[in-house]
Amino acid sequence: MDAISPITLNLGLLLLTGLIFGYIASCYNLPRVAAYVIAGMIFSPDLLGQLEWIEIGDWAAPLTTTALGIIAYLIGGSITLKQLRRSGKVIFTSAIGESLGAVLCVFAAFCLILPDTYALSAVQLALAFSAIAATTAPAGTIAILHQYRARGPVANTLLGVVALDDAIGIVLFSLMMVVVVGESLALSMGTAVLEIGGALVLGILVGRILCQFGKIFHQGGLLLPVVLGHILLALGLAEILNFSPLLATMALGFSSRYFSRAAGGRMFIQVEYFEELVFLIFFTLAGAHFEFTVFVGHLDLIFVYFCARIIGKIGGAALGAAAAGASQPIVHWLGLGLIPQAGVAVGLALTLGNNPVFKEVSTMIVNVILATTLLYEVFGPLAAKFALGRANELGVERGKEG
Amino acid sequence: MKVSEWISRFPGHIVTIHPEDSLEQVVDQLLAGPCVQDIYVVSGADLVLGHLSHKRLASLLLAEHRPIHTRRQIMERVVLGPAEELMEGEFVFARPDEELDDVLCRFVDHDLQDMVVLDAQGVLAGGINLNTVLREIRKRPNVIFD
Repeated sequence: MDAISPITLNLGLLLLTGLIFGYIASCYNLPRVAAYVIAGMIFSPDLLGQLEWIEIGDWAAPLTTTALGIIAYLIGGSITLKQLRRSGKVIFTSAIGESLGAVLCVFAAFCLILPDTYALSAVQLALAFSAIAATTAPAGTIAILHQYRARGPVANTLLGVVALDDAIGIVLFSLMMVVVVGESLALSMGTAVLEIGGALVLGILVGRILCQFGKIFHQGGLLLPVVLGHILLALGLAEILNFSPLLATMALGFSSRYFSRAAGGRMFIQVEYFEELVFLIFFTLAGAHFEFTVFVGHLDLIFVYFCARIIGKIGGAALGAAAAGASQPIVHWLGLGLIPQAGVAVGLALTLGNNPVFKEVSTMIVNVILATTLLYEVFGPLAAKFALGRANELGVERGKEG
Repeated sequence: MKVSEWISRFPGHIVTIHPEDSLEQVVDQLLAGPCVQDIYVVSGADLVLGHLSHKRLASLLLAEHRPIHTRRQIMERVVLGPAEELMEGEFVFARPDEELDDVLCRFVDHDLQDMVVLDAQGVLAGGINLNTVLREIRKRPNVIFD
């Protein structure tokens, strides 16, 4: 047994179990995300985690950081400046509104209900939860649009907003990390400028270099290691220089696409294949962090997070859309389509545990986000379908024609 | 045989479009000719700016029929740009002074039907059609590349 590395063994078991469970779930039209989590739960401390050779320990930290870095790179590269300008005011202000709405509602609710019995103050914990609340999972919404052939202004705005708001979520999360980890608010503001500004400059510089390398190594097989190498470089430099690693990789994605102009898309095609693998890692690892006692002991937080985020999303989206003069159906129904939350949120919750400040509360945060993610995966698509139905944008369901 | 000699003997037809053409205009061009697989975006001075494949255009046009999207595909679907934003700026081409023998593997490696031939300034000098090449190989397997 000594000759076998428990890291590779554990990771291999996690991935394969997750894949098998995911496959079984998809055969029965059940959400794969839930299957990944259940697969991870098998390795949690309450079950197989008790075995000596099962250890989801410190080795997971660099893995989650790298995996989230890859996702941040993809998020950064998902939009160009031209697309942002052309997308129009409604999508932009709605995305800002629903992201900030969720953040503010979760922050306010958690400030009110959190006791001061944790290692962190109630405000610090509320900030951590609220920063995770902004992100939205596009997959569930897209599946509903596809299944019901939804078309119209609400569907189109919904697509634009779900594509944008993870970027806003990562910016807010990076800001939160600076504020919570900082020693005082005044100090934090100075540090924030340095960490955020530094990360952006670093990401842009590495993006410029990536663009040049991309021209030299333009063949598909070589481009993937070139891109991954630059993502790792940006992550590593950001950590050494105390800049925000997520912002650095997001800026890397955005700038490499900008500098590469018409050839920018190819910088992402092969990395996009990693997305499912990354989410498989996130969900199985998060499942492995599942602790029944922690889950049961925080049902109140799960309920409040679930409700506050939904209220914030609906209210914020309505305000944002109204501010841009959107039509009534968009103002009324957009927010209900923005409820799903999945991979990015779980990844952010896992990376919090890598920071010593959150060490004591990381299991609690992961368990709360995991539980709410599963709830959102169930209710999110139903809410999106309801909203699109009320906006009269649903077509004939696939498989039920004629 | 040099590429320049090949294109003078077998002048291939390259379908070109303008950078500001919409997706619909590009697809109309694609469907106008028989079996067109590759379209090239060309500026007013015949400078070739980029390439659009049949598969890329089809995936854009059929976006709403795809159940899974990457974030990049979502934004493309929401704010569909003109040809210059949809094209691939790093594309495969041949130079007139290259040996045809050295160029042919690019067809296979990059899944092309029509390859542009560009002069040193990047101006369109002609095109090589894969079917024409294959036909010649079948007719005279040992002579056409001498």
